[in-house]
Amino acid sequence: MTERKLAPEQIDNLFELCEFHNVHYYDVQIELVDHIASAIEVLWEANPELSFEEAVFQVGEQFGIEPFSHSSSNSILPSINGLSFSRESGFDAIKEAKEKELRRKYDRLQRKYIGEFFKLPKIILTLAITFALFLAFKFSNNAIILSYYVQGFYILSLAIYLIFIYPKKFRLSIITGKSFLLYEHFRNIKRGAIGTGVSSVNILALLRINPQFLNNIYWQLFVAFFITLSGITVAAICIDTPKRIKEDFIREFPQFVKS
Amino acid sequence: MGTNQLYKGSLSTIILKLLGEKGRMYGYQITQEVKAISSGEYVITEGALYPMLHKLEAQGLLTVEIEMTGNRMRKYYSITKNGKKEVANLMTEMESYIRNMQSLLNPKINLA
Repeated sequence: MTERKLAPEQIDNLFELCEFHNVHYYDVQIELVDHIASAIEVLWEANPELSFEEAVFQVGEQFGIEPFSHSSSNSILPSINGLSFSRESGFDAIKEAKEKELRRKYDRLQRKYIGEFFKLPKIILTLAITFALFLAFKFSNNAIILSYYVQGFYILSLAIYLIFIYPKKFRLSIITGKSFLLYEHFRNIKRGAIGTGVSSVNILALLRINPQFLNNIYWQLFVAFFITLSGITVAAICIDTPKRIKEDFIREFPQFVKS
Repeated sequence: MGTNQLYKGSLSTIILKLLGEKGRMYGYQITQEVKAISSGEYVITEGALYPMLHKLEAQGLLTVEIEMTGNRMRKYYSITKNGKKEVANLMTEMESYIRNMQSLLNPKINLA
């Protein structure tokens, strides 16, 4: 006797089920669909006559997908008439955990990248930039104006990089119209870089409140180090992290990447 | 209270140990394997399994491969080098925990 397997349209129905339950990312959906499909096929081994809808219902219960009406024979999605149903399901916990872990993973990589600047040989580069800025502040006639120039140059360089270089260097085009959580994370990086870059301008506000800061050697050192650290963080966000995510995406979903 | 509560804290150890022994596995296969090994006593729920798999993957203890199986895609998990080191540590911790629990509880059991 041949084993009963799911037909392609039934697989499509399971993807619809994920969509219905607010799991819109394809990289999360494929795992859930395979799990439900595998469980259904195991149910069919014991009971080959069980309808697809009934099998989905039974497996869905394990995930805590409820209420889950299967009154229509053509659709596995809950019917709306007369039912007040919630889209909340056991899927939510899985989706949220995936989002959280993805964020954690790249935050950790980002911290690792930043940490590398505090190890030899990059520590020399960090110290050299900090020291150069410090000397510039110390020997400048107007350190406040100089700090404006430095920040202006920093923000302008970031804007030029993000507008002209970043899109070419980290272009990742996907073939289908599907959404990927990993791809979404990749697209959000730019926002993170802008946020960090712009937030470094806060130091200017601090200097404006009390311009005497820059007459103090420790503050000059602090401001020089703060700007350097902010630059390293932005470099981690817009150089290293997109590179890692792009590599991960190409490794996991090569069939969806446009060459 | 079911014994499932007792297993809860050991989920990552169970997954890593299983993948260390069996090689690569997919989510549903892990649930079935654990069920079979524990003679149905321990059932991993999907809501606990996938978040844990994603966590271990993000920590670099597991690696992922996606392949076409029949007419659907399947995500396989394998243990990494770091994962193998971690499972060795976790097993040592687990053995010492079991030993301590035995010495703590045995006298009471003997008294009964």
